[in-house]
Amino acid sequence: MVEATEFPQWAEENAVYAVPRTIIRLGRGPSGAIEGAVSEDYLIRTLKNIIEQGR
Amino acid sequence: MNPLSERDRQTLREMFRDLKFSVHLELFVEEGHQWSHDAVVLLREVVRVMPDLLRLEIWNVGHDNLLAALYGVQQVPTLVVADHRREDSGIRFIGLPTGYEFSVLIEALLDVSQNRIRLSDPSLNFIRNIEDDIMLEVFVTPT
Repeated sequence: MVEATEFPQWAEENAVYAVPRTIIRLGRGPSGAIEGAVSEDYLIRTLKNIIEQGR
Repeated sequence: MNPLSERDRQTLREMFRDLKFSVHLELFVEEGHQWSHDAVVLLREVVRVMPDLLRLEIWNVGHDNLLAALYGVQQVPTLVVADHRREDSGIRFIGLPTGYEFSVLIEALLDVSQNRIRLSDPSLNFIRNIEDDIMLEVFVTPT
């Protein structure tokens, strides 16, 4: 949880400008983010792209 | 102050009729932390609606730091949702599950209780064959 007083700095560091925002991290490798509601199809495609980047 | 109205409890009673197996809620908190306190009050009320099938354990990260580390808890309050065998479902709620997130919490309890997975078989097969650890974090506001 992020304290309200720390939110602006935290949001800047994590590039969270709107919610909901889904951040996907592959281990310590590449990551991706989806803003707004996400469909199953789009989530799976995003996962595939991130895994592909990690290779 | 009671976080649930009688109407809320009645709605939960009706929804919890669909619970199949018990669900274990492992809540990690910190002493003197306001949101930790609020999470304890809220979850105790939720569990009280269906005590036979919902079990709440409260852990203090100051005392139970090994268990917290085991579950990867880095912030409080963190709620870990485990199934009837106390196996970690992988679902975490960090912060207070209030507002829209309250209904997400209730749905998660029902999903874990029923071992319900909402993804299609092709998606499940793809995910099951992923060899790397993947962390999915959904950032929300409780409104």
